[in-house]
Amino acid sequence: MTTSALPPVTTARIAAQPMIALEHTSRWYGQVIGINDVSCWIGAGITALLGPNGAGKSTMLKLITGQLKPTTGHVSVLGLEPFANTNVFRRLGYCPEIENSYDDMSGRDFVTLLGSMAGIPANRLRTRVSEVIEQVGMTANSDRKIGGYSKGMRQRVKVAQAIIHDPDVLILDEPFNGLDPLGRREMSAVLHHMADLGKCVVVSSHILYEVEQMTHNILLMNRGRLLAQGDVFHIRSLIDQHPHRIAITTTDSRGLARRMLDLPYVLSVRFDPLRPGTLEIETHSPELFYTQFPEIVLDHGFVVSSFESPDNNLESVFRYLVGAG
Amino acid sequence: MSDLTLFKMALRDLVRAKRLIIAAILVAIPALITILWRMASPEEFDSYDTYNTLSAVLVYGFLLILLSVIFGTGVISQEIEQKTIVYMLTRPVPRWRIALVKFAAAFVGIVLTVWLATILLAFAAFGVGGHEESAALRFSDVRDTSQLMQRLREPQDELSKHLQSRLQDNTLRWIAPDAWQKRREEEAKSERKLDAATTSATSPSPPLPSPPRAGRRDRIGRRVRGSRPSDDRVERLAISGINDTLRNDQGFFRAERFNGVELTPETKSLINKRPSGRELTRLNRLLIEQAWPDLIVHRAQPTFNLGKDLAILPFGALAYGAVFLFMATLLHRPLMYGLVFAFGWEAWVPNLPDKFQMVSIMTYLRTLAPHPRPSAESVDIIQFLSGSNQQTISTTVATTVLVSVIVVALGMALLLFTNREYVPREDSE
Repeated sequence: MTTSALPPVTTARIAAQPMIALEHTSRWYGQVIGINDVSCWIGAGITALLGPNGAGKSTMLKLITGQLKPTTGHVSVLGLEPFANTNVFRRLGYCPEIENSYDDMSGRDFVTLLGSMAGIPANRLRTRVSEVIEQVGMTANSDRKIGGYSKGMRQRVKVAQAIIHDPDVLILDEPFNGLDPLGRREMSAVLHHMADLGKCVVVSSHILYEVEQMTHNILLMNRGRLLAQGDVFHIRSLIDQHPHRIAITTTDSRGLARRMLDLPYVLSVRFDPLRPGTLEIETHSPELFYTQFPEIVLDHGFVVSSFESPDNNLESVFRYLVGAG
Repeated sequence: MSDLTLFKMALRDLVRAKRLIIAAILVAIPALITILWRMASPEEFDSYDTYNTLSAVLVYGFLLILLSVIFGTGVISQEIEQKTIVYMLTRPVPRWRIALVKFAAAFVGIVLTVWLATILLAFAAFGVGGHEESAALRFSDVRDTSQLMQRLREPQDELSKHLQSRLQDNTLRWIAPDAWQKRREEEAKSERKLDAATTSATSPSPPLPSPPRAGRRDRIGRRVRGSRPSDDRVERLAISGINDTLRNDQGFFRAERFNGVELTPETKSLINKRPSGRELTRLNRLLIEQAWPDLIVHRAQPTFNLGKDLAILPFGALAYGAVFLFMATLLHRPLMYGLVFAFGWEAWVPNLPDKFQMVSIMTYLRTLAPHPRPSAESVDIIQFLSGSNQQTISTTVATTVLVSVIVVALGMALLLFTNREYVPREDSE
């Protein structure tokens, strides 16, 4: 599948007032393309920026956080051009991907420095620093030097500095890197909390299941291009014109297969040689299929023991979109 | 508030343990050299000369520049390399202000270090073991060098003759080739006589060319091959030769040699003391001064201006620091280019002829904080590096130029830092 086969990106579920907007934005590094003609709008809530390594995620986030200027096109954050714009930085928090930090500082000093630079008044700084350190679960280790931190600890203080000034827009580049499952859950909770407050949270990741558990709202990137934007179901519907597979296990697979073939929107039915009693149906209209399937089952008294769609998993959507699956 | 936190953090970064050790060594070097000099030649040690030479060569010419390169470029380049600069650049603090605050911390670091080095140097030169002044002739003590050379070449009076006779072969040769030739012939004659005496005593056989003679001829032969040094060098050799005499010649005063010279009471009382060491040098210096008042100046109070150095050093730190900060905002590997500029450009350009000197910061700093030429016998490389004082540039011009350099370099640096991208190209995401 080629990317151009996709229909134009729609923004149905995006808030009317986008907090981040990219318009035909491209960025080259000399001859190398970072991102290529990307247009998108990001509103409140958690949005995942998804793509394999080298897809251009970091470049896009650096454009949004005003570290890079677009080669062509426009980037706006909260209605302003972000490059070196202090008015944007007042309301933007950024957790970079880099592991390097001020190794000679303690986690608390690091967060304090960046908190004071974020404009938190001196009289509130101490309490606020303790607050965010608590929030990211670093209270016990906050007075140790960052040089001795594990990857996960570094990740936590990085997030702490990003949220200390309670930003409206929070950008996190691969925040789950190095975190254990518990850490992921905690991090996820922090981000959900921000989202619940009506903030715009953008999280980049190349690991789908991390994102899957957190949001359905994704931006899909590959090789510098934005492949799709929207709800994971929405994205799925974008590919609905392509065959969508559903595996059904039933006691009467032959009978069900016959029924299925009668349906106009079912393209093919195939028996799974490895799993007796399981048939795999291909349809180009999964929405219709899902609505009518329960009725058919009930009407004819089929016993269905399992029902799953490998395509419903984000990973396969992604693989499908990038032409790897 | 945030400025202060950033300033403190930047300052703390400068005094990290590893750097502190290196800084401590650097700071102590001038003072240690001073102490070694004093120990190595207590007779010739001169507090003023040592201070001025080491201040010019090591503090201004080395320490100030080195620290400015490291700290000046380090203001941002270290964070760019480490990529931690993103934390700074995504804060609601204008970029120019971040650079300025960090620059201020670097400036304080440079100034405190060079101040400490200067104070330690002054203490080692004047404090430990008291301040010593050498009465030897300095190059600048000679009013008319060509006249002096003339007297050494064709001595008319007793004093000139004596001075010439005490010059070493290698010096005499360039000043008065005729006299040198004559001396060689006489020496050869006396040696032959000596040879003859020894050979006749041991065996009656005819004298053979003896190894010592061959060796000597060889040695002379090698000397002859050398080309004539520059006039300036010959003059320095001459003064150095005279100083040897002043320091070591206990028989320098002879009534007939200073016949008709009006000696001061101080000189007379010194003569009666038959002094040695430092006092001998002073006596001989007084004698030559009073014998040739038209040629040799009365030894003036040497200059030593610690206050001025302490005042000008920050000025230099600001100028160099601003230039190196500018480099860091512009170039990829600023430390490398900075070092080339510091120890290539800044070390050599001030020693170029007149007009070329004008494109070096050091030239102007030397104008503002002059360190008089060390005496003639100082090691040549130091002589060369410390260069000559620029009388041609006025203090006003020097101040104006340096202020302009600071304003322009700092302004450009802040402007660039505000407008350029400092995110290293993403190799892989």
